[in-house]
Amino acid sequence: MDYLAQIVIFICIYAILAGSFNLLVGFSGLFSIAHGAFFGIGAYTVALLTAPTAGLLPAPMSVWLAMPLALVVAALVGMVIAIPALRVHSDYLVVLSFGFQMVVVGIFLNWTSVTGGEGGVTGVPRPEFFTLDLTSPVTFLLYAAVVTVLCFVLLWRMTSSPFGRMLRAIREDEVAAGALGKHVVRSKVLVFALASALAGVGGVLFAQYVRVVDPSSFTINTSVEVLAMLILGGLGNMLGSAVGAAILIALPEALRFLNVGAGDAEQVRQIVFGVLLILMLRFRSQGLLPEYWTPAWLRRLRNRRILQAAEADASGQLPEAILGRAGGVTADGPLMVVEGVSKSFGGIQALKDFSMELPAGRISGLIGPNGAGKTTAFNLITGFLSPDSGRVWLRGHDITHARPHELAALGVSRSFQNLRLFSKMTVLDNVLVARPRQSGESLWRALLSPRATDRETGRNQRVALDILGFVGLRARALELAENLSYAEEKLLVLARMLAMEAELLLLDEPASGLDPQSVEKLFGMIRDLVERGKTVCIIEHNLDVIKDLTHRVVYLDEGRAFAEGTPDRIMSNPELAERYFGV
Amino acid sequence: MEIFLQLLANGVILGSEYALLGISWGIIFNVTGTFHFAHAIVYTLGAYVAIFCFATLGLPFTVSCLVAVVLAAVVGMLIEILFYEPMRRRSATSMTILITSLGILIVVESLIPIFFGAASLSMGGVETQPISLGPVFFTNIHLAKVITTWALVGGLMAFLHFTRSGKALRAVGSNPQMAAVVGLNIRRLYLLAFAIGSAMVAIGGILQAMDTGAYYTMGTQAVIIAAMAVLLGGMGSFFGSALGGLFIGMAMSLSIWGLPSEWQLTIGFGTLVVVIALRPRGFLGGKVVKSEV
Repeated sequence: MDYLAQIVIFICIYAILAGSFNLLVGFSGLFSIAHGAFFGIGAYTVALLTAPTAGLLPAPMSVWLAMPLALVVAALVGMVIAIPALRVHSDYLVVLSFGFQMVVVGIFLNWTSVTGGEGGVTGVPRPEFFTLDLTSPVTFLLYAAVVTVLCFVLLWRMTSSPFGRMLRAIREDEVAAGALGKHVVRSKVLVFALASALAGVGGVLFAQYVRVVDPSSFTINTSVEVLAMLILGGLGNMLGSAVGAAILIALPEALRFLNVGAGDAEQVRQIVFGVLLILMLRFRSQGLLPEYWTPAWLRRLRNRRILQAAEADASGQLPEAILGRAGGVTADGPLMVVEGVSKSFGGIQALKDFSMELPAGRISGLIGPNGAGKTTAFNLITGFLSPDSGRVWLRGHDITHARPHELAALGVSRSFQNLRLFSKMTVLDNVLVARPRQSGESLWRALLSPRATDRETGRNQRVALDILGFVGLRARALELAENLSYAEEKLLVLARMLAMEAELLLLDEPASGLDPQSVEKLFGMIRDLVERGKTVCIIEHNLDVIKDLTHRVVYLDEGRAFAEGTPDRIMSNPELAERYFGV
Repeated sequence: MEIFLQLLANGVILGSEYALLGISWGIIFNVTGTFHFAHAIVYTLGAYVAIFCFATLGLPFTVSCLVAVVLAAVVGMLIEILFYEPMRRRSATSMTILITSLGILIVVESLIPIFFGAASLSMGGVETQPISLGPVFFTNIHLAKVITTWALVGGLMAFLHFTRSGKALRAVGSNPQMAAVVGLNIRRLYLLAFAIGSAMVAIGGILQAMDTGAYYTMGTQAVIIAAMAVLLGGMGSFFGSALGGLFIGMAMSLSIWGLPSEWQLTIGFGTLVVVIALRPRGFLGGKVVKSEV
């Protein structure tokens, strides 16, 4: 009985590790090898603060005080690693976390005066609940199980809230997430700190159960073991992490019963984990439980609820909510003014003293030969690039050096030539994640006022389904975005922009690659939107489209606005015709 | 002052060791973009095979080294052919390729003690002779380390800049799509990068075995230092990887002036964090790696 309880306790500890690692790797797409180190930081902190033999403090600290402290230490150390790495690129985190993992074990080993070196810290006390002490494995199991359930409730809540949806969007495409107004770097750092703190929880349980903390438990091998549990269970599925932990803890115990590889038990264990990793990634990379896997009955129930809600208010109309600031009324004058903007890359001048105006409530076209600087112009006015000189104004506010997420908040939305959909998320989630000002994207709100968050999500879901109805994708709402046809993908791009309630829609070649019918449908929608007060600017090569759709045209060539006027005037200009067509 | 000169010399020796690690990992990373952590086992294998051939089979020294280097190049290419290439073809993410690489590292590293035992092995046979240069002391093996490393770095740079295949490697590294468009054989060039990197790291492994002996976990620390050197030198810069390694070695060695030697790795890592915070592109990196719009 005690033996069985011990195995379940280890399953609990590793389930916490795998779950928190999943938050990082599976949900947020951040790869770190340092999970074993954070596990160790939690364990060592609690051991050093509470063990009478540690000698770090004059007298051991209360267990109840030391436990939260251990989490705080793990989270803070996590941030110190994450901030320099994630400011740049996730690739840097791979190398920095690997180095950090080695360094932490080195510190545990070498800072002998504090950590006790190879022997570690002994005599870690267990917490006491009034008269109930946790001396037997069975009573400790109760405590460990409660902590594990709490951790998983927290993880599940985090990942199924708007906060979790935002993390997945960042994982799928951080450029697009930024364009939708998400704070990419801040969210990544926060999630790294959280995952580190939760690994620290695992460490606390480990230290209190084993009562001896030494460096060998927190090496890179531990990180790889947890990684194997994660891959086995399924990236992006929390239940999978628990299942993976259970299997990989129970398996070596079973092997021990069968007396396999008794002489080199540790080596055999590592080989089993490594081979499992390679085979899973080769033959079933989604793991035992794939990301969107839920029990069939639960899925049916949820889908029925979503589709019924959609049925109930299926107006086929564009919901009023997304008309946003414009509120269906067209303002006068220019919405955006670009004033003498220049940008060069190395020696190449992409834009030279480029100026244009986008009148409110109108469709403007940006035309010109390939390499004229059209997409560069879009990148400049949406904050993805900063101009070398010149100014950009939005409704009279200087937005020259604003970042993409700030511009999204000001009502500027854009599409990308390569679409940048969140392909491993559902169509509905692609639209939902674009909704502005979601209080549930703040982690604390999502955790502390779940009711309000759920109500808000319910409202957003109705709006999102209405938008999908408007573009004709409602029937596909629960499909993964990667399963859509190209025409449907382009409609989803538009739906995502609409969900932002943006006033200004910047469309980069929306018609390319579409059949004539889809183009007609798309342009019908764009006209509809402009009638309701939106402002549109479109990059396009097809001059028939430009003539048909736009109110005015800016002709861009060699990085300069060459001419500006009505489509007819621009196209009848013989000089421009010669430049464009070479006739 | 004398201590300083000695530490400086130690720094050059350690830095050369790391420069070789850095450039050998860097050529693979910069050309193929793979986080090839299984590079660690190629390094360890180089050392173990050379020792096995020389000490156990009794082959001549040069033949043993040659066998080890060729075998390492073959193992490196096999890892690419059997694991990475099929995954890339199925458009696996760089994260799954990197996890596979870790899996290979763990499996092989656990197999070594089963076959060769867990004790440290020494090369033997090559006599260590102390050399003194004024107040500075080192050994003939240290000298061999420094000379071999910089000869290899120089040779590789000449190859990359003056030969057709070398130029093609650099082109593939900076823009694989464009390289494919102009008709370069990407698969062959990737294999070439793995062969060169693996052969170079095996030489590093042999030198290490001659200097301090071989241990079955020697590769893990080596590969992380190599990756840190590449980041420090700047992603995309081949010479930068060697320079990054030299810098880490110097920083580690000079830190002994004020700190016990156990803290070397911590110092090396701290140096990297500070440099990345101040100058994300590293020493010679052309541009910061960011998601392209």
